[in-house]
Parts: sequence; structure tokens; C-alpha cells
Amino acid sequence: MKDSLNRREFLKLAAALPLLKLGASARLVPPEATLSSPPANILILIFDALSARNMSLYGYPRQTTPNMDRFAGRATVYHAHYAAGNYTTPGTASLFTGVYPWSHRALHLHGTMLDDYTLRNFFYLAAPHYYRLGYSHNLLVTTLLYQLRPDLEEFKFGRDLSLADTEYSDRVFPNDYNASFWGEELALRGSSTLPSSLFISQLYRLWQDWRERRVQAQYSKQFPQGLPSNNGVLYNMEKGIDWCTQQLGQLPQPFLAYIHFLPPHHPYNPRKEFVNRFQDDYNPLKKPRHRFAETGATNQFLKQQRQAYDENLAYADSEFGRLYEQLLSQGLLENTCLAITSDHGEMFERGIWGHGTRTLYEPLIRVPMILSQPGQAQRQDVYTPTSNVDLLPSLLHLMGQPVPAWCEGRILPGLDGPASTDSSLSERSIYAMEAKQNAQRGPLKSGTFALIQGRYKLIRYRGYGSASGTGGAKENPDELYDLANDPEELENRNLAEKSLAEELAHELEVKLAEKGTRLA
Amino acid sequence: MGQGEARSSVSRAALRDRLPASEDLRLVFGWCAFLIHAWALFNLLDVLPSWILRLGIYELAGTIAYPLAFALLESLLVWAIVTLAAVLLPANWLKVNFAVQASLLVLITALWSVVIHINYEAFLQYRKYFVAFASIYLLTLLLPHLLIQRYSKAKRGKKFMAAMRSVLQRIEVLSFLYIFFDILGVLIILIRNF
Repeated sequence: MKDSLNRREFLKLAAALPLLKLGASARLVPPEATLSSPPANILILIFDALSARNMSLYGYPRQTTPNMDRFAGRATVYHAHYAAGNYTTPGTASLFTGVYPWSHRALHLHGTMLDDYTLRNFFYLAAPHYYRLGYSHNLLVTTLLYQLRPDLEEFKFGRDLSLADTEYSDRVFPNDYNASFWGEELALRGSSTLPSSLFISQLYRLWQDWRERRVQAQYSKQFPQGLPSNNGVLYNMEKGIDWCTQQLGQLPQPFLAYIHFLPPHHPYNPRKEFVNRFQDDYNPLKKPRHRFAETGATNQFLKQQRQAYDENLAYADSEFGRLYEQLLSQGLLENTCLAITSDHGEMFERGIWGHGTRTLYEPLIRVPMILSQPGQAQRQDVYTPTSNVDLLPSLLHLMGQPVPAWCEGRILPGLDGPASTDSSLSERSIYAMEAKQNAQRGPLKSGTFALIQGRYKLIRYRGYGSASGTGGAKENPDELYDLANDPEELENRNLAEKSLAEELAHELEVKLAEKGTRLA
Repeated sequence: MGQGEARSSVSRAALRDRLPASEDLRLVFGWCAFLIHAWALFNLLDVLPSWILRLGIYELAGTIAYPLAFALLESLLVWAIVTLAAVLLPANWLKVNFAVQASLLVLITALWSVVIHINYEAFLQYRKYFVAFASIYLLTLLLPHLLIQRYSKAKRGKKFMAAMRSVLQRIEVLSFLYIFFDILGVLIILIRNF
């Protein structure tokens, strides 16, 4: 080995020195610096049973959503956005999975998704560095979130943010919540039947009643009509919003948070300043009674329920306003994508009140979608029909993740700049369905199915035999509506536009033949 | 034998003396299980069709296991309460003719419970009359007890007691079936949770 370098070798080494420095600099640069922008947080807020038709944002005459209107000033507002189901379980499962209920098969009250979808949802597919959180007031959603809990860093039971609850199953059997919850429900509370426990349930119910009265008394001044409740869990929005305002800014970032509030879902028990707020002379359009109308759901009753619902919606909106102010003051909206939508709507017409019924009219399935991207300052309006199955591909797109081929949704227009004029989006078919009469893995032989394509909407009633008192196919003809000219769905154009109706019906049947079969 | 051991031996003997006959204990347990399970199954069958629609076999077995296990727990609890009452109360109050007396006591309480279940909202509305309801309930418990005390040795009384025992013996067989499924439910719960 030489003891010293000659001049030539020294010069070669000296020339290489800058390269060394360059190499050192490259090792020292943190990986994040190579990204064009840091990943955004994603916050999804669900207001259960929020019908777009009852929001002032979408032209409703009552000022029900002034705060959401304000937020919309810096968001993309989707004017023809649809839930995939007409009640919580199928609607929410479609939000999570990006597929329609005929795929995930969470069709029933208290139902769960097929096991496959524990690996096909936005929590599982989220970019790995996201902190994932799920919370719901609604126990039907807790059932779904519980299925997905392996992919959640933080999963909160409904009672975690409640004022009082009388559930024990998750504390005693945390590894088997869904089954133990329904066992507890049947044994102690009954729910859709009497409690199966002969003696102990009496003591339990007396204790539950005493506890509920104590908590209700505590809040009676603020909530003169009583506190909202869901399956024996008493809560108010304030506690949930307080938690959000305190915790969201402290969550590890980036986060993916799904938060599902119950209002404006029944019971319509708003805070006192909202009670009788809409005692006005607003008279909704009277529509003919539907063959699935309920006894007792008179026009007067529906009008009263609608007023109570609007007041509850105004209360929910007011609480959203508090959260919105906090997000603004914390600067979170500069690096957070905030989406507001609902799992389904609510209906007060045609002799039908509520949701989960056998109909799929606009008030039931047209829900808001207001989506603000980080730093968005201008409002954008999209009138192309979109669906809640579009949420998953859109979130994956925002996270820079690939959209899987099995997904039935599309990326929401307007996410990458001005709303796309992609005609394939406006011509694609959107679906909604109500099929709880079928077994989860069985063929979808009965139910109500809707197909929305552009301005047209076809509703098909399938398999309602005479035993239900509603007749078969002849008594339940298809309904075709031109939503552009007849947004109130008053004129069935099934016969006037027969060929179009047949074409859409055929498309729907082909889809049902493909998706609605018995599963292995 | 030390003093402590002697005392403990005397206590155990005293307890054994105060306990009703083992056959009576078995019959009463069978009766408690029968009433509690009959009610539980009646209501379970109400929800079962909707559960079958949405649950696979494993989930269905899991969901049913909990109310069944609860029914077992409730049966044991009710039986333990009446047995304890027999031990604590004077012997001629409950221990004598334990099978018949305890079964009637449980039956009357069960009937009251069913009425309250069906009219629960009304019961809550009239909760301020709870003392009156409780008094009537105690009277309905007391009446059969007094009748048994009075007529148990008479011919008709003996016939009635024999008929009751016969019913209890038949019911006991049915209750074995319930307990079998309950234990299966407990096993399913253990498998699902641990």
C-alpha cells in the first residue's frame, strides 16, 4: 500500500469530493420533502336522516341550514347526490365500501356487511400513515364500525360520548360485541319484541327508567321535549361536538375520521331555542297518498312531524356551526378535506313518514354532499347525479391511493378542478334500493329498486305479494319520473315514455340478474 | 375434633337440616327453568325470522347463545332466591311442601311479571301506586300459602299436592332439554370470546 498519493490521484479525488457532498445531501433530505404537498386530513361528518330536500342550502324555504350554507361557500356542492339505501344500515355500508347494497349485503336493520368487505372499505384501503377513527351515535352504524375495528386506530362506542347508557355487552364481551349486544337487547330491553328475560329485565327496565328520568330532569331546561335517544342511549349533539372541537386538532395527522351524529334523525328533540322556530305558514305541496301509506299518517300529522324535523335539523346545523368555527380558528380546514353527507333522507309526504319504508322518493334518497378540499376558497356546484358509493373512490383519490376495480362508484366530479364535463358521468346509472325482506346471501327477489340516469328516475317494486296487502306486479307498476321537469315526482311517465321506461327497466333487471343472485 | 371443626360441622348439619329435600330442590329448579325458558323462547321465536334473514349460522348461534345463557343464569338466580327463603324462613312457612309452595310462589310472580311486561308503559305511568301494587302482589303470594297450610292434610289438599308434584316431575324432564341448550350456549359464548 502506498504511503502517499501522487498528484494525479489527488486531483481525481478532489474532483470526486463535490459528488460526495451531493450524495450526503440526498441522504439527509427527508422523504416528505419529495412529495408535492403533505397528505390532507379527511373528516367525514354524517348527519343521520338528513334529506337534501329539507335544507335551505338546496332551496328549501325554511332556513334550516344557515351554517352549512356558509360552509358551502368554500366547498363543492353536489345537487343530485343519492344515498344507496333508504335507511342507515345499507346507506352507511355503501359509504364505507363504495358498492351498492346488492354487493355488501348489509340489507337489514342491525345487519352487517359480508366478511369480504372488511377488506374493502375506506379504512382498510386508506394510505397506511393515516390515523383512522370511527364514532357513531347510531347503534346500527356502531355495528358496522365494529366489523371494521381492526382497521381503526380509534373506535368509540356510541355510549362513549353519551350522557347516559345502560349497555353492558361491550364491557363484558368486548371481543364479541355485535352478537352480545343483540343478545343483551333481546334479553333485557326487548326492542322489537318483549324482553326475553322474565324477571331480571323488570328490574333492569325500572333501573333504566329511573336513570333516564334523572338525566332527562337534569337537561329538561335545555331540552324541554327530552334528550335525543337511541336504543336507550341518551345523548346530545353538544357533547359530540365538544369532543370534536377538542380532539380533532390533537389527533395524529394525517387522520381519517368518520363521525356519525344522529340528529336530525327521530326523536326530533332539539334544544329549546329551536322548539317552535318554524311555526309558520309554510305548507308543503300535497301529494296523493301512496299505496304503502301508513294508517295515522294524515297530512296534518306529516306537517307536524316535518316542522319538528326541520327544527331538529336547525339544531344540528347550529352545532355544526360551532364545529365549523372551531375548525376555522384552528386552521384545520387548510389541511383537511371535510365532507358532509347523510346515510339516507326522511319523508313526510304521500301518507308516509320517516325512512326505511318501501319507497325511494327523492326526500328519502337525495342527500347532501358538501365537500371542501384543503384551502378551498370558492364554491363549486355540481349537478351531475352522484352517489354515496362515490365517496370511497374519491377519498382514495385524495389520499393518492389506487381505486380498486370492484368499486361501483366513481371519483366525484370537481375534485381535480372545475367540475368535469365528462359525459360518461352524467350518463351513468345510479342506484338505490330497499331489500330487507331478503336473506343476506339469498337472491334479491323482493324490494324496491331505483335507477337514476341523468334526469330520469325509474322506481321498480319487486316481489310484493298479496300477503303484504300491497299486491303483485300489476298493483305495483314501475314509476318513471323526469326529475328536471317534475322534481316533486308527481307525474308517472311510465306509459307516456314507454320505450324509455322499458329500456331503463331492462337495464335494472340486467343489473339485478348480475348482482342480486344467491351468494355461495 | 377441634372446637372450630366441631362448630363448622354443627353449622353444616344445621344448614342441611334447613335445606329442603334434594328431590324438592330439583323439582323447583326444573319449574323455574321451565317458566323462564318458555317466556324466553316465546320472545326469541318472535325475532328469529328476522335474525335468520341477516345472520349466517355461526352468527345466529352466537346471537342466540346470549339470551339462552341469560335464561340459565336467571333460572339459577330465581331458584337460589326461593331456596334461600326456605332456609331463612321458619320451616313450616316454605320448607314444608317446598316443591309445591315454591313452585306456586314462582308461578304467581311469573304471571305478575308477564302482566307487567305486556302493560309496561301503563305500569310506569302508575308507578306512584307501587306500594299498592306490591301489597296486592304479596297478598296473592300469601293466599296460596295459607290455603296450603290449611288444607294440605285434607283429602282434596293431598290430591292437589300430588297432582302438582306430578306436573313438576314431568316439567323437570323438559327442563333438562332447556338446560342442555343453555350449556351449549355458554360454550359458544366462551369460544367466541376467549
